[in-house]
Amino acid sequence: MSMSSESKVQAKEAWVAPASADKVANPLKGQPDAIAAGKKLYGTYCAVCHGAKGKGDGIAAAGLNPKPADHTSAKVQNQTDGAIYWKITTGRAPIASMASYEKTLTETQRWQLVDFIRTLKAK
Amino acid sequence: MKRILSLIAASLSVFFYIGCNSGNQSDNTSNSTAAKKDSAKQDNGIGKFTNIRLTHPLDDSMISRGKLLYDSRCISCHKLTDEKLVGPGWKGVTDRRTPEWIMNFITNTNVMLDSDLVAQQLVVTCITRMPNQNLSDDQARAILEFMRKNDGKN
Repeated sequence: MSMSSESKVQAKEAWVAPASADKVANPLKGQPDAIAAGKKLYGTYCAVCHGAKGKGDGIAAAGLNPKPADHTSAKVQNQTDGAIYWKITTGRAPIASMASYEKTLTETQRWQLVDFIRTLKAK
Repeated sequence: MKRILSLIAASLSVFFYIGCNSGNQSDNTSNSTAAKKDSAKQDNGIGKFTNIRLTHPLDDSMISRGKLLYDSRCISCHKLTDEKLVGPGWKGVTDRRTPEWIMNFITNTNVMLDSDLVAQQLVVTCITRMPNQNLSDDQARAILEFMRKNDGKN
């Protein structure tokens, strides 16, 4: 059993947030307490797939296609805060396993995650 | 023979309920084995649990341990409502699966994902294999009790 061929094709295409998302400003940008809160949330909701350090190597990653994003990568880090926020909010189901966290996490919590993801950037 | 029966039971369950459907997808699973449904009333999944004795009332100590485990291991993918997140929401899981299936799935995850028809179907609809969390039997039982609590059982 596998995904339909249509989904597979879609999964190979880059996942790009709409341009409108880029214009949404991060109300918590770089705030230390937001980063700390985001770190905690990341461990709870994201690490299982994306890995504790964000490399896309969480325990669930092996079974996933497409693979979870590497949050340390330039591909992720070059996106705007608004784009990352949009992706957390909308998810990529059913093409990929990335769920929508619109109802699970508050807006504040999603921005906190964006702040924490910024700290994962590969040095 | 036992294995065949469990496969039949599994495919029946697939027909009756796909846990990960978000609601607007239709269930197009084949019903080719439905005619044999009288031969398989219970789907225990695959694993060592074949006869879980549930206790009444619920065990508060197990519930609280199960809640702690849920908060650390399960919450990232499973909501307590019937909404899908990464995996199916847990609301009603104790009605749509047997206690044995749940316990086997938690503790024997990879085998179930490879060979149990319901589990395989969930992999397709969720596009995800649930990772083996390496939980002990006791921990799995605590999670089951927490699920029962979540479903309003007593």
